[in-house]
Amino acid sequence: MGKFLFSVPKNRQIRMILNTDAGCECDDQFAIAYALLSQKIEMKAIIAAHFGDLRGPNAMEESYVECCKIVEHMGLSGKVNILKGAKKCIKDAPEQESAGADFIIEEALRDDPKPLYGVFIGPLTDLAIAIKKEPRICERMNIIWIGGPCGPDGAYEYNLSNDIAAANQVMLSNIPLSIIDIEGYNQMKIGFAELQDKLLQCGDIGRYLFEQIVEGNERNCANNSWQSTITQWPIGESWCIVDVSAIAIALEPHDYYFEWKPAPFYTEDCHIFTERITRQIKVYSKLNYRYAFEDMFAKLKIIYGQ
Amino acid sequence: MGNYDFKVHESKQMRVIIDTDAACECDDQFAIVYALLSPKLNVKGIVATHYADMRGPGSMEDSYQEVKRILKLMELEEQVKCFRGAENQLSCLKEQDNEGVDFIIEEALKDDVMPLCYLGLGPLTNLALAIKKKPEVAKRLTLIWIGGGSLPGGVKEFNLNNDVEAANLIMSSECPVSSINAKCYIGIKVSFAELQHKVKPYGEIGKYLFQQIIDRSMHFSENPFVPGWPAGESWFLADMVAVGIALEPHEFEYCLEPASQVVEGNMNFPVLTARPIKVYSKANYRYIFEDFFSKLALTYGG
Repeated sequence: MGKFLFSVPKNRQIRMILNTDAGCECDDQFAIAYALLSQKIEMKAIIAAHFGDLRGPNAMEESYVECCKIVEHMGLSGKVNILKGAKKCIKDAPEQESAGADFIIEEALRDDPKPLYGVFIGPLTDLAIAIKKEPRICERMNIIWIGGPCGPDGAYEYNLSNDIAAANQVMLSNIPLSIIDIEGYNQMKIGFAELQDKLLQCGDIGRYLFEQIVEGNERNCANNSWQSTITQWPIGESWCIVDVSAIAIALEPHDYYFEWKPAPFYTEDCHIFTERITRQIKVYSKLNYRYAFEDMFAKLKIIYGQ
Repeated sequence: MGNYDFKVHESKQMRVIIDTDAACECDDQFAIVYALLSPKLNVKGIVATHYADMRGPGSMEDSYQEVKRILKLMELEEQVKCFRGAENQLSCLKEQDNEGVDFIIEEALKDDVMPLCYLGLGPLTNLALAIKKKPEVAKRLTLIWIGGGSLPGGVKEFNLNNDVEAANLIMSSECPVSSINAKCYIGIKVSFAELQHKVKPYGEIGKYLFQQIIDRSMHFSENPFVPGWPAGESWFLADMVAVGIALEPHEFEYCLEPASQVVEGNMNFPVLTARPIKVYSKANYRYIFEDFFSKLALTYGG
């Protein structure tokens, strides 16, 4: 184990709650590892999220198992607070309980000078539940969300499609919100050759990150059940490591990369009515993806490099 | 090729023809190596092409010899077929037939479920000849072409200008086209220091890729044919973008525009009723470079 030869001053640190559908495919894993390796981030909890029921009713449980696995491969078992979130989308279960949502409320209401970021790299279900139960959290935290088109036409987007009602509820609230939209996160492309070259030298976690993506690629290519919704996906020898971008934006404000846009309101087929909501949100349609990737690889190498 | 711990599923692979003016300057070489190192791409053959007579006759033959040199350095002479294509632009050609064109037709008309991707790294003479001879070729492949657009200061776009008639013929055919215009391909800059660091150490081919760019940079600096080019200690590896887009669709980096016809000089006259083609004015350069450097390192590293 290596160590960083620099530290982050306390008044530059942030608290983070990371809400992830890690069981879904292969990019959340990178975001979890990247966040846990970043000294600026004090990780308060990782919350396992569902990802719809396309692959069965246990999506949230699958995410929970995957989060535990990542933490174990990093040698951090027992040191990270991993919680279970809602099992279903709001429409299917309007009154459900969520330990994750309860924790969001508890942490947001706690007095702490470090700003709190809720980073959602799956659907917004747990945030919607928390806001409904305790609207005061809206003044006490920032949200970064991977998902949602924001253009005039709308389009299919995976995280949005897994809970459209939750997204609308968050849009209708006044919680500060940054969205990395589909155009923004699609820049996070990376080839398997690069992952092999750079990750296999980074200990157990590096090997796991590489092998799970290769395995996920083979599984999804052989069983193209998603091809009806995501054309041609996966591509062959590359992947889009979408969720890493949310961590990078929490670490670095990307001041010149976003635009203020009216918060969208979504119909059930992901189309948008912007005129329903007056408030503005930050929308990122581009990113400093070089910064994100190189920072992540450097951190893995410094701590786990052989 | 490659010591890769991953495979590309058959349904994700594609057949590839590379059409290259390899001896013209120093970026085709990188693109050829990149394509040959990529398991998603099954390179069926490489067709050498001319770069007009700007530096005297024999440019196609020089390109052919350059491709042979690369294949030899990669020890792939036996595995990868290489063909001589057109010796000049359509308007100057005496002979319409060549072995490259015959190969293109044969491969395009073959019954094979794997899609065929045509990487046009130079002028489009060979593909135009193939479509003239067998029009059905047009619909049986997808062209990714480095060419089109215009350069700052009214400088003519090189690949387009080396055969305007061929480009017009393709644009008015039914061939699906992705055009990587000058604005896009000039952006893929790399410095010699980075190439020395990340390319030169990897095998005979790495050594050659590095040395040929250094030598040619020196040569073109002493014998400039484009004002202000080259810059001195950097290059743009234009043709790499074609391989990058074949590997990764870059869904948000292109616009659909009407296929334009070039009437005089290098002026684009968009025909508004024309069919749409994909025009790329940006690309994910980081993805392309890092993927390429890693493939070199995994294949030729110790």
